[in-house]
Amino acid sequence: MYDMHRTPSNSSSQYSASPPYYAANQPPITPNPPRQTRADQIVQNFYTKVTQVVTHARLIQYDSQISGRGPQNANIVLPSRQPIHPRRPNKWFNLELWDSDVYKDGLKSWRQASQVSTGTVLLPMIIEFFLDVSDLNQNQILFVTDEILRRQKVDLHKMGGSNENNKSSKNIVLESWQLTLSHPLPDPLPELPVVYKKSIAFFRTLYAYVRLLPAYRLYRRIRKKKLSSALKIGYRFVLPTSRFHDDIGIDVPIIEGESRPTSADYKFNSIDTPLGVLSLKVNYRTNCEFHVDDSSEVLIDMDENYFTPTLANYYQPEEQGQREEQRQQEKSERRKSVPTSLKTPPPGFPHPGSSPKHTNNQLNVDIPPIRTLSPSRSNPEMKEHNSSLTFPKFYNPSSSTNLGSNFSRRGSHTLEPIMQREYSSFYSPTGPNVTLVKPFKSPSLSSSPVNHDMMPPSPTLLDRMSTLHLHRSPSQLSFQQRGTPTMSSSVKSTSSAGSLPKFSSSFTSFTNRFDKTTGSTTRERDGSFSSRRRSTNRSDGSTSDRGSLNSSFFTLDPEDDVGEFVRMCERREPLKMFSKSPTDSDDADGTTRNLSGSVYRTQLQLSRFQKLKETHKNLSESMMTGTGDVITGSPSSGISLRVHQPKVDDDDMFFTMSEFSDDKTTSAVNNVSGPTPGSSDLLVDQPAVVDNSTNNVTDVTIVVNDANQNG
Amino acid sequence: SAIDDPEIEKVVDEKVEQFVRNLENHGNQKGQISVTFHEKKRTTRNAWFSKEEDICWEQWAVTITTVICHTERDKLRIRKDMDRQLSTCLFNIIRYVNDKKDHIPPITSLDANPFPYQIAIPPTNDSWGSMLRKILTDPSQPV
Repeated sequence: MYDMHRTPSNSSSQYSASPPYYAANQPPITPNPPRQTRADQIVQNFYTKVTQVVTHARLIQYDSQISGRGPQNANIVLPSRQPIHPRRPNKWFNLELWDSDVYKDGLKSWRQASQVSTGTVLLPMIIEFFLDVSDLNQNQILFVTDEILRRQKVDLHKMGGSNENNKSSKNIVLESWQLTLSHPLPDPLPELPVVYKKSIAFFRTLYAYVRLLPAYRLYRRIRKKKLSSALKIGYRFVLPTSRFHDDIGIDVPIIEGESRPTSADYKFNSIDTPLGVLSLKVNYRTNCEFHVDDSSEVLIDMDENYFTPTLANYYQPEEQGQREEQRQQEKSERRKSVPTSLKTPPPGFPHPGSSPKHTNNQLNVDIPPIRTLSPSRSNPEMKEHNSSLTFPKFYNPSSSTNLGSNFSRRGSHTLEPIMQREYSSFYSPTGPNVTLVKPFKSPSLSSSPVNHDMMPPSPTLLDRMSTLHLHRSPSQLSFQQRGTPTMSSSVKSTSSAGSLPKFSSSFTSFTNRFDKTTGSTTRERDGSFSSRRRSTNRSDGSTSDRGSLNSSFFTLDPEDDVGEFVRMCERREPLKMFSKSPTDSDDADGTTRNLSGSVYRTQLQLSRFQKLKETHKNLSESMMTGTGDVITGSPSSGISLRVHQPKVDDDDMFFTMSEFSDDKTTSAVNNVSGPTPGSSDLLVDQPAVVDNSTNNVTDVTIVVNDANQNG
Repeated sequence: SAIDDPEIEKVVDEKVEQFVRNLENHGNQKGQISVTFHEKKRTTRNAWFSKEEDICWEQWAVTITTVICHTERDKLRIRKDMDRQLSTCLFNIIRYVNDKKDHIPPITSLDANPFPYQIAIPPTNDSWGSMLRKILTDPSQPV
């Protein structure tokens, strides 16, 4: 019978006696107390040990509150009357842990409660760990990460609890450990050495298990942050008298929509002792991924992963369809978020003139060098196909085929405040990079501004000046407003039907195939940019050196998504949509699903574009002859743009139009020389971009100057 | 005791290095490593005539398969899988140990490791069965 009347003060000293040593067939070596006491000792120390192991893995203050003093103090004579307790490890059950003050009080009160409440049976010892958010100040917000790696805000006041008026933050219970000693006694009564041996194995599994649970990761995170963490794990011994109604129980889900269960439990195998059957079980919360962020860092209403490539989408292949949908949705949202009116350009931004004329057919942005597309020239289709300049840098190569769709239908979109912030970040007063770029930067397309950290300035806007440096280096991009026509090219993946071949395209990197003279240019960088450009400014710019601008526009950093995409384009693999065999490209999933429809459509478009190409070739030739007249063929689709190019002193105006190529993955770059003073027209036909996943044909935008229009 | 035992860590590190080398040399496909626990027993109780024998009373076998990833996406996916599998494996170990404790010989010392143990890497041609047989018949010989 278990003797409950041990005073607490004696108990600790007794229970920390050294564990018994059992030789194989010999009685314990320690002075031979009655068997009952020995069993009693084992059981009591079992409880202590469980407490130790569990709190050691959850409470960072365990180590700081280790009982007793270190050996270095052993020689110091303290004036106090308290005896000096040297540090001693608790070696019970062959598992060495320091005793700590952190659990002592709780354990004591539990023992007292046990003695008082029941006669024979020990109270179950329940230890709960909870997330203590009382230290969070006003600016900090609690988040929890769900299984698809999204962060969700946690509003503690709304959850649980009946006390609506209570403003104090509630605790979220993470784990609940329960150790019970139950009757009836096992039959036959086990031998103490066996009990001890099994306990040894038990504690080792407990030690490992407590570090495999989700709350352990939280503990590690908190421990790493130390002082700066506002989160704490608190613990308590749950006594029959304690009431914790307001706390959020383990079973209460913090966020909605999680597929895995909110809580789980595990029961350790029981250990028979002469005093009863010891069993430990734990009930724990499966999601303990709590974080704290400052509210100033949190963008309101903005998905944290907004600008990052959605790697999470790649994690669960079985949910691919769902992910595709999600991605499409995100893309459509991004489309809408292109800033269409930048009212206040950053200080350093030269703003020679703004074009007040905005049509539906283009971005309603004040772009200094860009004039509006003259409505009279617009085809009916043009009205439908809004396009915007994009910076290829921000294009997620993995969704390259969707880019076209991103270009479509801009119409007049409202500017999201977030987007505007994005913009401002690109236009640092110090960095001249992006002077013109503003309007054409579509953040929606920026798949990874986080990664690239680049100058928005990207390649899309082409200065008519020769100095078109599209590097990542800040100093290079100089879009000077010398007037007018800044043509920008089409989107990377799409080849715009280069009607007027003399315009350089920012996406020229894709036109490697035309780059016969300059060889492989994709790996070349900024330095050679101008020289190469010069080489492209030839009157017969149609076919040669088209690809010369390629690489300068893009930093071909191996880690760069853009670079990767450029390389992919240069490989000029046949488009997946044309091959019926699914390949392991990123878009394979999309393509394989819509093969039949897309193949048909792409074939149609291909033929159309080939026709356009012919037309444009002719046009370019006519341009070369110096007539300056540009005649627009009547494209069956696309936008016709005219650009006026004044004569440039040093170098020819350098625009290359991307030309639709056969395989649709590269775009040709044509050189354009400005034949007439004043202005020249650039006619650009933008072939449709085939969007594999959506099977839409969308057009790419080209910047257009209207000015004088010849022809 | 056995939480931060440097001796065990050293042995484990050495063996793991050997394992990795082995794996690389043999084409990076699949590797196996085993941990066995032994006990020295006397055949008869009579101290004069008994021989000491080494009995293996527990063996753990871990099989690791390597995967070569070609894309970044694959790598991330495999890593996530690997995390999950490792957790599951550890949970299983805990479960097995919890379930079966009766076969453990009496523990007679306070050491971190009261039982002699062996970490072995079987040659690739061997199967678990043959290796186990080798161990059981002649446990004193390293595998």
